[in-house]
This record gives sequence, C-alpha cells and structure tokens, in this order.
Amino acid sequence: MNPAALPARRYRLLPGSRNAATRPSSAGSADHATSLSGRRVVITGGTDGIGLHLARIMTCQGADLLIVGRQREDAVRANLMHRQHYVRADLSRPDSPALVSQAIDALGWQKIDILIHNAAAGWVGPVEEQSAASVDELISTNLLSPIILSQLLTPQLRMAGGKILFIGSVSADQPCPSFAVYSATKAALSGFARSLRSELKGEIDVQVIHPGPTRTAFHTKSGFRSPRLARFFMPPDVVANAIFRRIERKHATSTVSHGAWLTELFRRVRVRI
Amino acid sequence: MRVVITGAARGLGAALTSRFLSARHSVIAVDCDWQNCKPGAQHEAHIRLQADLSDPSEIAGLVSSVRETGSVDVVIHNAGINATGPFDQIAVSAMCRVIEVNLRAPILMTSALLKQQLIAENGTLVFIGSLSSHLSYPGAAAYAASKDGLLSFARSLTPSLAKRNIACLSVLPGPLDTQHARRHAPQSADGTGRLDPAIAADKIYAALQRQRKTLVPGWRARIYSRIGTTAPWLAERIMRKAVFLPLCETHAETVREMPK
Repeated sequence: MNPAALPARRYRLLPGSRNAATRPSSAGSADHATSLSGRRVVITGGTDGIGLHLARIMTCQGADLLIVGRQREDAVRANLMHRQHYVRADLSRPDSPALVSQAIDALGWQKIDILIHNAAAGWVGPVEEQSAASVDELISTNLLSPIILSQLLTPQLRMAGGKILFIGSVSADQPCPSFAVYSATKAALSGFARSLRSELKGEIDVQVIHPGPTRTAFHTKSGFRSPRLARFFMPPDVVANAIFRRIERKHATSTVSHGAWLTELFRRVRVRI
Repeated sequence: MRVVITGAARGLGAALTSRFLSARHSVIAVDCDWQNCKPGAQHEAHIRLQADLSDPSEIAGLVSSVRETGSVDVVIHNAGINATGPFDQIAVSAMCRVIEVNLRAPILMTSALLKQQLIAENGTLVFIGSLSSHLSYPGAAAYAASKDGLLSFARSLTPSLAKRNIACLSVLPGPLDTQHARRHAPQSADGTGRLDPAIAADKIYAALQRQRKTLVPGWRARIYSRIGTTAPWLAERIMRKAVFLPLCETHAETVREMPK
C-alpha cells in the first residue's frame, strides 16, 4: 500500500504539528524530504526525549548530526542512525564544552549550520530544600555550558552563517515556586539569547523556542510525580516536529505548547515584572 | 530593622548602607574586598563581613555568621559584576564569574537563609536586577542572562514566600553613576543621565517601606523600561547602537594599545 495514501497523524492541540516532517512527501513539497541535506547540526541532550526525536527528524531530513549526551557510548551506539555521530560529555562539568569542541575538530567540521542547546536538568521542590550541589548542576547544565559552548563554536557558526537554537521553557516567564531555580536558568538563557541575537545580527541567527510540558523522562528525573497531570503533557515526537518546523522560520522566540498562540500572546503583551 | 547588604563597599551597596544607617537600622555589610573603599562607606554602627560570593563555601560561612547574630528583616542582594565586550572575546572565566556572583550567589544565599529560618516574619528580600531585562544588553550577554535569571527567581519565590509573610522586591536600575558602571561603559560615553546611587538608594528604601513588588528607579530608566516592554525591537536597536557598537570600538582600541 502506498504510504502516501495514509492520512497524516494530526494532533488538534498543536496546530503547528501538521508539518513537512510528518506529512507524506507526495503532499506537494517533495524537496522537503532533504531540506537539510549537507547541513551540519550539533545537538546537546540528543539521547532522550525531545532531543532524540529532533535528532531523528533532522537526520531524516538529510543533516549530519553530532549528538552530545551523558550516556556511555556503547549504550548509545546501537540506536544511532546513519550520519549521526556521538560524543559523551556531561554538561554539568566545566570541561564538557571543550570535549564537544574537540569532537567537532576530530570530525573535521569547519562549519556548523545549527547548534541546538537542548540538554537540561531540573529539580522540583521548595528552593530551601534544594542542595547547593543541585543548584550548581542546574546552573552549569542549563546556563553555563550553553554559554561556553556557543562561544567555542562561534567561528564555525559564523563561517556557515548558522543558527543557535536555545530550547527554553514556558516556565521561564511564569512564577514557578516549585521550579524556581530551573525557571531562573531558563529565563537567564532566554535573556542571554536576546542580547546575543542583537549582538550577532547579520552573522549568526539566534532563536529561542519554549516548549510546554512534554511527556519525557525529564520530569521523573527532576522528581516530579503527578501521573494525573502528566496525562495532559504533549508527546515528545509532536513537540520535536513543531520545534523543527519553527527552526525554518525566522521568529526570535516562539512557544510550542497547548494553546501556543495564547501563551505567546500573553508572553509578548504582558508587561514583564 | 536588621539588614544584610551584599556588595556594600562601593557603589549602590555603599549608598544603601548609608541610607539604612542614617535611618538607625543595623546593617550587616558584606563585600569581597574592603580595601580601597570610600571612607564614607565605613560606618561604625554595622557589622562588616568579608566573603567572596563566587564561592559556595564562603556563602555558607557568611550565612552561619549571620546566624550568630540572629534573624534578619531585610536582605539586599546587591553584589553584582559585569563582563563587557564582543561575546566571542570575553574570557570564559569572566563570564562564569558573572553568573556565579550575580545569579548563583543570591540563589544559594536565599536558600540557606530560608532553610535556617533566618528571615524574620514580615521580612523582605530585595533583588537588584537590571534594566537590561527590559532592554536587552548586547555586549554583556552573560550579565543580561544573570540578571534575567535573578528576576525570574524573585518572581518564582514571591507567591510561596507570601504565605510565610516574606515579601520580595525586584529593582531594575538603569545606568548608575558608580565606578563599576563607568568601567564597563563604552569609552565614548559621556556619563550624562546616570542616576546618583544615593537617589537610587532613597527610592529603594521608600519602595521597601511601601511594600512595593517592583521598582524602576529614575524617570529616564522608566522611559526606557516602557520602550523595552512596548517595543522590544526598538529597544534592541537603541541598545545595539548606543552600547554594543561603541563597546566594540573601545575593545578594539584596547586591543590595539596592548603591547605585542
């Protein structure tokens, strides 16, 4: 049976998800199948959740990928697709950006088209119960490593006229008492991106995409346990599709969430603090 | 009232210390370097502590010294540093230090003070952010990141602390007339329109009395804040022209002047 005849999966809750990556290629845009061919992409946290799906979509679109993750290389090797490379680096450690940079040199990549800062650590609970080590881990993983890695890879990105993509969070603009440090790091990341975008105008594009709550291992790792609430979380493949679709656009920030346009409207219109 | 002020040796911290002392409050002044500070900042009536806020163990030490003197009513997270220049030419260590002092230190300190219940009921946490949160700050992206993070942290704490009768005040000052701000301004800047730290300290004190949640001190800063919130693209353009491009020139000059 011709796969193109099958109806595309549609999620009503995410109008942006009916995209080129999930749509059968005969739907009018055949060139989409290789829209990233020859492009080089670096993605952090690409072994799980949104990052895993995003990496798969981009590989299917023809990109060469370098995936950065914490897992051991032999554990990941079996899941790697064609044209996917892997480097093990724990982004909570200060030497990790250098490891990634070395891996890129080893691959011989002179140019990088897209750098995706997707890896993140979380912690749920009142801030006074959070240990100093955990605060440190969150700040290093979510904020310091992306800053340092962006700086290290600036020459390669500049060469390609590339793009830096930060995966933020909808929590960055909301008061989140139980996610205080996490949302602070995400707000910091989006403030960083905003200034950097203005600084690198005309050379490197900087974009921030804020996904809403997604059904990944992130929440369990952070200590969030609420199966009833988790039922309403979006599936990671849908979120990854929506993010991929937004990468091709030029918007400085966008939101991927339930009622995304409403969230984005509130985010833009509201006079922040 | 018992007040803790970080970064109290110079600039806004020194002005705040004078303001609180003149209103007969007791002040615990914290700074990493008490040498070479203005003689006006060295008042007799307060406890002076030395701590490098980029080091978590020194923050723990600081909190235990505060504990010895009892609970405090107001904590002002004022200490802040900057690192300016074109993004790819700022040293990694400088950017890390900016994040550590401006963002990690207030988080760790607040968390430790809350854990040990050292903040009295009806107390206030004051977070000194920056107008960059409304305007963007090309040429100091790590600084902008740290201040955005700090304000977000304050915003997250507000509802949970309100239950314990502890308030949060976020302050977003524009450029102040301090040594630190001048050092990080472009060489071509003539320094007009900078707010006197003593006036800023007055306004922060008044906002504290009125239990306000947020404060943008100075009419110039308020105008820019309004531009930044209603027309971010315009604010970004202004900041790029007024701050980033002159900063790049200053940076290029200092590089040229350096001996080879």
